[in-house]
Parts: sequence; structure tokens; C-alpha cells
Amino acid sequence: MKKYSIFLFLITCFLMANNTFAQSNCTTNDHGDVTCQDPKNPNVTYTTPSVSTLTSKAHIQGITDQQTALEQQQQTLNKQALQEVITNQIASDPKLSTQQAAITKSLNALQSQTK
Amino acid sequence: MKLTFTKNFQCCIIGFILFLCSPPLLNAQTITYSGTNVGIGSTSPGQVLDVQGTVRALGYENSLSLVATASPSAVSSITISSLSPGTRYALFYNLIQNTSNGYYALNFNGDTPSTGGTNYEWSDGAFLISTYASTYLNSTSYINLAPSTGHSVTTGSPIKGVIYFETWPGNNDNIIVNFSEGYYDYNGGNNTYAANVGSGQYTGSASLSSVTLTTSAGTMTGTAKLYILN
Repeated sequence: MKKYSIFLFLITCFLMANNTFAQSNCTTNDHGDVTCQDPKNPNVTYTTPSVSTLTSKAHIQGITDQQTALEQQQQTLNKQALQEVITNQIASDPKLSTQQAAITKSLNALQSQTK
Repeated sequence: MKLTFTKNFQCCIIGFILFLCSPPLLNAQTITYSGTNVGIGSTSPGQVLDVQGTVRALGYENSLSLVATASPSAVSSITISSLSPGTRYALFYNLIQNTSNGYYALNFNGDTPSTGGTNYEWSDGAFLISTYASTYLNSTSYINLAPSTGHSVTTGSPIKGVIYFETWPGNNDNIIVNFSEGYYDYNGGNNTYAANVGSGQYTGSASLSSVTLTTSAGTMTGTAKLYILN
């Protein structure tokens, strides 16, 4: 029984010492983000975000990503709209249509020569 | 009173004294001299120093010296401190972006967006599949390692690169940065591979002391190693 008590005492001391060590090397900011020192590299620290930080940052990043996707879609739509305007202009102007037909004919001739 | 010792005991005493006085013995099989070459673990050294094994040293001249190794696991930032001005550093990183998309930001001396600093200026450009993106910004609170705030590393994908930085000649407070990296850019949902290069500078008001690598959202896991370029 006595040996068992000593063993328990030693285990408690060990756990307390480790707990103190861990606490003394970590700090928590107002947002709940925890910064801890690497036990093997004293000049290296890591910051682990709190759940609220993680959620809010992911939300902001999600909005930014959506914005990028929308901007890219807008650019594609602008290109398509511009192409449509040009096509309509050519179709409505007989002079341009004739020129386009001549250019297409010349291009086809050049392509057949290169073959 | 007269002390008498047996011969065996005398031999034993002499042997013990010889053992204490003798220099440490070198294993002739592990160190070999061949002309002007020396081999350690090599019986026929082919160079001035031929080591057949791992060499451990605190540093080497005219080469890389490891300063710190970080092994982040699901963290949002890594900070390496105890840096010195006038030293040329190289930070190699190989990370996986977790939880959500995020872009990577670089900060010095704890001067981060939370402190409201505007001491950073940077420019970079990325080649993505069939497109190109670039950004220039000044008076910002970090150096962005993606072409713009609209580009980020896709969740679950790697980012690998190197950042070179050192203080300006004769100015311990200002830091010049060059970087190159490869990563999967979310790119509006297209998830395209990006090769990004850039440069930036930090014009602070204190000597270089630390560097911080942060992901804007989610967490990072992997390794980052800081070297001194001697």
C-alpha cells in the first residue's frame, strides 16, 4: 500500500510538472487563438486558431473566392458580348461582310498552300 | 611495518596506471590516410575529405546552415525568432492547406494585420493554366504569396516554395524579400496549378528579429526550414 502511494505521488508530480511546462509555453489572445513554443525548437512558435477565428476567416475567404469566380464569369460574358456586337456589325454592313468573305477566302487559300 | 605485494597485484597496479595515462585509441579501420586525402568510414578516400556517413556540424562556410525546423500540424501560422540583421536567410516550406482555401502571407517582427501595420510593399505574378495573374500593392500589412487577394491555395492541396530575405545594406530595419513557389490555385473554382514568383520589402522601425508565415484561412500542415546562406 505504501509503495503504491509513493508511485501515485511520483505520477502526480510528473503530470503537474508537464502541465506547468505546457502552460508556460503557450499564450492565448483575445480571440482564443493559442500560440505555443515548439518544445524541440525554442525559436519556433505555432499559432492554432480558435473555432471562431477559423470559421470567420473561412467565411471571409469563401466570399473572396466567390468574388473572384464572379469576376472571371463577368470577363467571359464581356468577351462573348463583344464578339456578338462585332458579328452583328459585320452582318449589318454589306461592305464589311464582303471584306470578311474575301479575308476568309484568302486565309483558306494560304492554309491549303501550307498543307 | 613493511608492505609486501604479490607480483600479480603489482602488474595490476601498473596496468591500471598505463590505462589512465594512455591517449584515447583511434580505430585505424575507420580513418584512412591516402596521400593528401583522408577517409572516414572509407578505406580509399577519393577526395580531400571522404566521409562515408552522415556529418553533423554547427555550420559550414560558403554553404547553407540550418537555423530552425518547424513541423506545423493544423496551425494557422509559424513564427521563427532570434533572427539577425545583415544575415541572408532562405525559408523553404512544403505545406498542405487544410480546412478551407487560404492565401499565404509573410510578416516580419510581429508586424501583422492585427497590429495594423502598413509597412509592406510587394509585387508578384503567377502563371496558371491558360491565364496569368499579377498584383502590385503598397502600404499593406503583409506580403501576399499569391498573385492577389482573389487567389488562394485550394483546400487539401500542397504549396511548396522558398523565400529569400535579408536586410538592406546598412539598414537593419528594412528587409528585401524574393520568393518563388508552386501551388494549386482555387482560381474561382477552376483549381489550376500556379507557378508564382514575386518580390517585396518591409520598411519597419526595428531590427530584423522574426519571420512569420500565415495562412489567411484554415490551417497548414507540413514542414518549414530556415537556413542561413553563408
